[in-house]
Amino acid sequence: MCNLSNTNGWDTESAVLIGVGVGAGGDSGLDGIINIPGVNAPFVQDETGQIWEDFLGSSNAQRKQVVLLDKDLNHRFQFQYDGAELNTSELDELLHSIQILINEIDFILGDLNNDQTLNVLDLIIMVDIVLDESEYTSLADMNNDAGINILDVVLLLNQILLN
Amino acid sequence: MIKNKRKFYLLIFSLLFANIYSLDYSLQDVNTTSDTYQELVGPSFFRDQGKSISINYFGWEN
Repeated sequence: MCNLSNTNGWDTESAVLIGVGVGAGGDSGLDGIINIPGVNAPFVQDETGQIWEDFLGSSNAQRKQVVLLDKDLNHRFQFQYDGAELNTSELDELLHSIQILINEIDFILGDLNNDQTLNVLDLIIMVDIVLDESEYTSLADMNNDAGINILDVVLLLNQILLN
Repeated sequence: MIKNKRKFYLLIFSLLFANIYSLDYSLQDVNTTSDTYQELVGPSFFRDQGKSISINYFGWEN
């Protein structure tokens, strides 16, 4: 993963790379992220394994995984890599996914009545979309799976409760 | 097509009481070359600084 760094082509004002190691191996656990000129990614050690479990499902999960969280801290994309570096295709896919999330920053995902807030009014509209199988709108596609269904309703509900 | 709208709405309102959590953490930055070295960082830390998207890389060195 030597070429994964905060100088890697995404808008670093909007997105940040964070390294998460497991155990207590100190900064030697960065697997190539640090000690490279220009690289300054923050790195933390998950000594209990809880973060690995929360994000990846297990404290013994495979390494070289990347999880993208959106502006609401929702898990949106996850990638598994095998090589020492990202190949061109992998890098393009990662950058594209990051850009999707950055583009969402300027509008409120789930704000279906465009009142700049998330509340039960948006929830009602989304439920109607699901029940009536209305035309697809990306604003209602909370998990970006090209469909509007109960999963999106749950995510919108989560956002309303968090707000 | 959802046939039983009443059950569907009941499900929605029952979820109002469900525990649904976003992902986050706050741990000390141990990278000596990082701008946030020794600070407690995580996705919400950087979001509060305007960096809304976090790219969380999970790895270790052999």
